[in-house]
Amino acid sequence: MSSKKKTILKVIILGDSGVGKTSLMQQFVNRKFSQQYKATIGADFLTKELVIDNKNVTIQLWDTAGQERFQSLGVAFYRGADCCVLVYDVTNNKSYDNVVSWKDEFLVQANIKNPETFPFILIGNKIDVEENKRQINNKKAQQLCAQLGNIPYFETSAKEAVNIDQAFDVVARNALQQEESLDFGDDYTDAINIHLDGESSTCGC
Amino acid sequence: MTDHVTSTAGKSQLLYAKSKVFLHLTKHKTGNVEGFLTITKRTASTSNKELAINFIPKSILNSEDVKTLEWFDLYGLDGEKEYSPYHEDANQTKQSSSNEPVKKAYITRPSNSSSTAYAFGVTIGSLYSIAVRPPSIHWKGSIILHSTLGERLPPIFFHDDECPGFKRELSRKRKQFQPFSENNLKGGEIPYWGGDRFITVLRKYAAVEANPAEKTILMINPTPSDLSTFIPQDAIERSNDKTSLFGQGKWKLLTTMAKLTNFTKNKVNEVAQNFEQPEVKAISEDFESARVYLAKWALSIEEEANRTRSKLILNDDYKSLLIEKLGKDFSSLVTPQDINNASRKDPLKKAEWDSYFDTNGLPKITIQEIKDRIFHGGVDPEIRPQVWPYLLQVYPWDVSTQEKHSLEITLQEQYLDLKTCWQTDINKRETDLFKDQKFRIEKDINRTDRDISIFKRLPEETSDDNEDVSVIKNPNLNTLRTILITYNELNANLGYVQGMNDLLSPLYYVIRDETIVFWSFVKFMDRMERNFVRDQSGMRLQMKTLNELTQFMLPEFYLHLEKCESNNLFFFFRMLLVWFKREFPYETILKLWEIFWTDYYSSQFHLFFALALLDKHSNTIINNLSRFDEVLKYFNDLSMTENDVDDLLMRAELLFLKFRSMVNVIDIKERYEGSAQLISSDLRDLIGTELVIQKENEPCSVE
Repeated sequence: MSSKKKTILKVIILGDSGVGKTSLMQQFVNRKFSQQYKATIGADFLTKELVIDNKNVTIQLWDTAGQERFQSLGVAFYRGADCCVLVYDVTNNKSYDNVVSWKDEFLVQANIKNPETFPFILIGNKIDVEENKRQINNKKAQQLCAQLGNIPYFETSAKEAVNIDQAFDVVARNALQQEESLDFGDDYTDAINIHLDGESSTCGC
Repeated sequence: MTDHVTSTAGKSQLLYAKSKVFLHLTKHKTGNVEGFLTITKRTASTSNKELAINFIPKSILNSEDVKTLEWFDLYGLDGEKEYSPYHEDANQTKQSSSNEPVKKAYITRPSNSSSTAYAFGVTIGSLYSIAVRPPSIHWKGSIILHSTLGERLPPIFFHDDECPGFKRELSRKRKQFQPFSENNLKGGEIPYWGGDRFITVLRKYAAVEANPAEKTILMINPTPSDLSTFIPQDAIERSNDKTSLFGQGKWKLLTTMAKLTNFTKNKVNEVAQNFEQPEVKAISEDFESARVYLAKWALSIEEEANRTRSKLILNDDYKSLLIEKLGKDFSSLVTPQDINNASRKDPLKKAEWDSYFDTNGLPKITIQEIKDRIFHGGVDPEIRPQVWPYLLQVYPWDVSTQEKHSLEITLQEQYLDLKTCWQTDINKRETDLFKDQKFRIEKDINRTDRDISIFKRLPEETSDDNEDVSVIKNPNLNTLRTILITYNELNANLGYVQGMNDLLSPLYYVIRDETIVFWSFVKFMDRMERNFVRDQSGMRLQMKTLNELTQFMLPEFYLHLEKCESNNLFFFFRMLLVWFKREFPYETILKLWEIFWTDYYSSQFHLFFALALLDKHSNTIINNLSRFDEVLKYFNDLSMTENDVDDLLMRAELLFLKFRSMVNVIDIKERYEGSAQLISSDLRDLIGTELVIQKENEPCSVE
């Protein structure tokens, strides 16, 4: 493990169209919010320098189109991801329902070596709306986190910059941990794979 | 051999025979091996699966067999009398449609192999698939037989122009007014050719099904798993229960697949073989999505492999040929005259436009001249609302003023009908699909070009309006919504897809008349639909074609992109999807699009424009960038101006002229030598001005 090597943390942001992926990223990186963002086409990324536990890292946040048919090209840029942020809109049931699919799609397309331990973060965005427009309450969100393997959850407002830094701090820490675990080398991850294979052979389903 | 004709000992019965078929063993005609393609039956009790398909070189046949084969090719299936669609003759010998022999004819039993004379054959039972390549103006039609053993046999070329049997078939087809292929692979536009009859006859003895993923591959007696191996990704609904995959051994398979980063032919074969293994089949059964992904990957891997195999970077032979014909650095390719022609001119103004038409509104000059003018200069904003509906073919060029008026009335009525249809149908508006699509449209309408004056937020719009996307106060955006919902209903299979709002907005900005904007959008979508089909095949094809074009025209830069793992040209996705709309200022896009719409040189001129963009930035990238993300960021963040557009259009035009000349030189050489085709058909299609139209076939569903 070389500490001189510049650490780039690659983070993929996924979720339905219009949940606020671009806005979250812009708010975190550029501290701004605009009503004028266009629907993302293809893929783009922003970077930000961070210091985590005295370590300088560059976080690279990848933003993608939310309409499902465009995901077949995801394989081109998911590769090498260190963390995946799943975003839904708290005023939109369907975007919540789709989170599981986004996670699965990501795991397959990104060629993740060890899906059991790969870091995911769940974000429920748009909490600035009036309570009566909210369709997903905190309890329901926690259920989803449990279902996804007790992943960290944040409720944010990209518009009013609520909880953005807190969420991305955890994103960055998890990504760094993931990045460092990969440096243990192939022997380590192979051992895990063998273990998983063993498990699967006892599974009767 | 001098067997009696009546004796069938050591002989097989002919079920099909075609003369003048050839193996092209070398690039030279002298290397062609002439022969016959046959389907034969050994004995009366031979089953369909035991029937033999053979290529028999003419050189190893005795004269009697040659005579029999030539007779059979002419009359064996259709009878000796001429068929007439007007005179039914009860006594006439059996007529064509049965595709079974009229008379029994026998030849010496063909051998399935020979060490010297290139004979080969397979039984139908051991035939796995047939790759079919219909003829084009540049090459002869051919078929390749693939046996279940995996051996790849040489292509069999049909020299229809030399074949009396084919000519007779064709004249009979013409008399029946069916000049097109029955087994056509591209949707009805391929003329009848020699290979058609072979496939039709084969269908009598075997199940022949087009591979769902690759229509030019015909699967012979396929099992369900043969076909499912190639299931396109949109064919199967997503499974809701994918998580179970990841705790199990199936995961290993998926990661194995994804490790194939260097795509080679061998690896594709490995992948293909993996599909045959029982464990993979088991996954397919209990976990459909895995199969979708596997198929998706296999396809993209295969595409990659094909790409690598068909490298278009010219070898020294071609290079020296081009230098000989076109001068060093291809200097004579682009003449000062060409450069002069390609220089940008002032936009077409009202007075000049008006002078093109007579008092009845009919053009006085050729359409090509008008297009030439617009291609090189664009159109003055003042007359865009008039000119665009012509460019988009809402109005034919040759309608009189009067005809145009009645056309406008019809368009008005039709649009109103379509619009009222969904506006008044309460049941429809309550369906999930409608609500889903409407919501999708509204989300995007709210973020469509809000920086442009007519789409700006109004003072009365509060920030809370943003929470309910169906509240659209800006009347212009409201009209865009109505148009998109109406289009969503009109083209129900495709439905609304992200990016269409980007295509509609400039049309509305320029034309404003809701009806004409709608029909202009419908026409624009005809050519853009391939960008939005569910399986993304239209985008893939364009990226693949651009990749080939780059190899061919900018080989050094291509090699650099390969090093950066950027030769997939992924960074062009956005530019190709919405025709550079996000990269240029709004007003500039109006000009760029009207130039593309002329189809002056090519209906896919946008790919040459993309090539020009690569060309322009190649040095910067070669010298400074070495990673995929760097290259993507570089292109994503290009901020370009009107000047850039003019410069790129000139480059694109010169690149097109150079490309066309290079293709011509290579074609002449290859036609002369009868050699393999270097230029893929996708690349060659770039010279065409006919629109490339690809429609969505699957019905739209809730995504």
